Amino acid sequence: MIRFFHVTKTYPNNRIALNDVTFEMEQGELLFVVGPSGAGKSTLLRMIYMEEMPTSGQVIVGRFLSTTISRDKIPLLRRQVGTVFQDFRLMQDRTAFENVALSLRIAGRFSGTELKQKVMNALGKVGLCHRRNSVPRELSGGEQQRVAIARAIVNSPIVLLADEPTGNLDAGVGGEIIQLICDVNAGGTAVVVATHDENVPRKLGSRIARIREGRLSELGRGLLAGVIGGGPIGGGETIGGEASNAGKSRGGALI
Amino acid sequence: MPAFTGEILYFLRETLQGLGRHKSLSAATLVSNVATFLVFGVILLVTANVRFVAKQLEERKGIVAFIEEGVSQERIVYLESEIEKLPQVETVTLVSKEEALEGFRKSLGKEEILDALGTNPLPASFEVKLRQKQRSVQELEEVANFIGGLRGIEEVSFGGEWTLSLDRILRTLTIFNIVIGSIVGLAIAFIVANTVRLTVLARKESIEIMKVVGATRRFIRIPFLLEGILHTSVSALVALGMLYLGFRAASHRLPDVAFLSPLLVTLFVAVGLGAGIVGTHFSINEVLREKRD
Repeated sequence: MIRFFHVTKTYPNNRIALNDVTFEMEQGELLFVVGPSGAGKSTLLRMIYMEEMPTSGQVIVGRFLSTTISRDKIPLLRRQVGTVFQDFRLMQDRTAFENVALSLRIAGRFSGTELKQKVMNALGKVGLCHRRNSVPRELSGGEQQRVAIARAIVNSPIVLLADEPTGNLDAGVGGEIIQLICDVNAGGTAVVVATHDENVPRKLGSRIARIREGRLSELGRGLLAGVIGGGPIGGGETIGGEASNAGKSRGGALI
Repeated sequence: MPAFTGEILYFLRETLQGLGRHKSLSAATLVSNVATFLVFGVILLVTANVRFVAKQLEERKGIVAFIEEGVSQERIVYLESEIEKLPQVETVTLVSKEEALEGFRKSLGKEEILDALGTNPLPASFEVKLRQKQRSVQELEEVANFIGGLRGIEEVSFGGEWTLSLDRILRTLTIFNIVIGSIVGLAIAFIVANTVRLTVLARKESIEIMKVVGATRRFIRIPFLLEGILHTSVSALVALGMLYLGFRAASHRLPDVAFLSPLLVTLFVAVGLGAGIVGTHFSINEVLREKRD
């Protein structure tokens, strides 16, 4: 469902953000991309929703190819990709309901009643129906991230991307957010979480890809990652593995 | 409600809510645009009136040919027909000695002085008006020389230096109008476009969020475009209203001035709207630009 094929990203200042990255993940998988700040995690995520394009190589997400996608089609891809960020990125001048409804209004396929039902359903999944009329500044950090998750899932995306989703939250609330993300994955949605904290995926036993200086250098599964991964796999590293415990389908295959 | 109708309603609601959500930004934009439009309006008004006065002055350009004392009525009729035959001449008006005196009395206001003279010292004359496009100094001089050469004409006057100065002033004014008008028009368009641009850039974050959740460029652009149009047209109308009120107040003291013609009012609003649309268009493009290698 998501494939990176020898993807390299070089910025105009010649800084290499991703270096010959190849991996694949299937529907329903849960993948943690771990690594220090500036390692290339966010660039990798931005390539999935095609905010960034590879300098060389190819990214495939569902039926969209980075090499052939036109500017007009990028919004269609993004409607199938839910995104959650460290800084929540909610519209400050709109209520929680309106923030979540935005994804549906943009998709433009829903009548007023349908829209309301879907928004309330999404807010229900994150436990925030009662705060639907609050604007972000009236919500705690954890609540804001829940609204962001509701916005990301309301349109039933094929994949949910979370870029340091707990970075601005204390440990307790962060744990709740991770649990919520796992719940989304349990519902069959593929999830990619970028985090600098390796402990989270290790405890969950999820599939891990380690990224350092733009190279995907290690792979494995949660508790065993340190044993199976065992270090760099060489140029054009490929990561694969079985499906996550939470996910429904088969794990990523080698390309 | 069908999704399409819902989208249109969404755009309209977004436009109005956008103004409401950013009250201080909207107010600042409105004040800035009104002030800019007002400057533009005052310049247009002054320019239009200077041209109006100049045209009135030009209307008064003409030749006065004084008739010798004692010339017969037949000769006067003959002279009139000779002058009328000239291709540059539009009208010839005979002013009799009595009419000249009457006119002088009116302009003087003190009739007793003239009564004291006993006789009428003023000569009869022809007032000759040339066709609109044939009123240059050369043509006036040419016609004046011809009339002056006719037997029975004592003296001819056509303004001379005064006409020359008026011609120079009119030419300079026309160039000034074109050059300054273009510069001011461009500056106004730039200021308005830039003000609208700031309102778009202030909401860059919201636009980024919309992009990430899959909004098309059209979906993002339309509410901003409508808002830009609303901002600039309201500003232009408010400025126009203020300009009119100011004009009404001043026109008591300046009776010969005129307000902007319908054409200039249209130009005024068109410059405003054009600047608003262009400013919104370019600033949204700036924010919407995708990073592609």
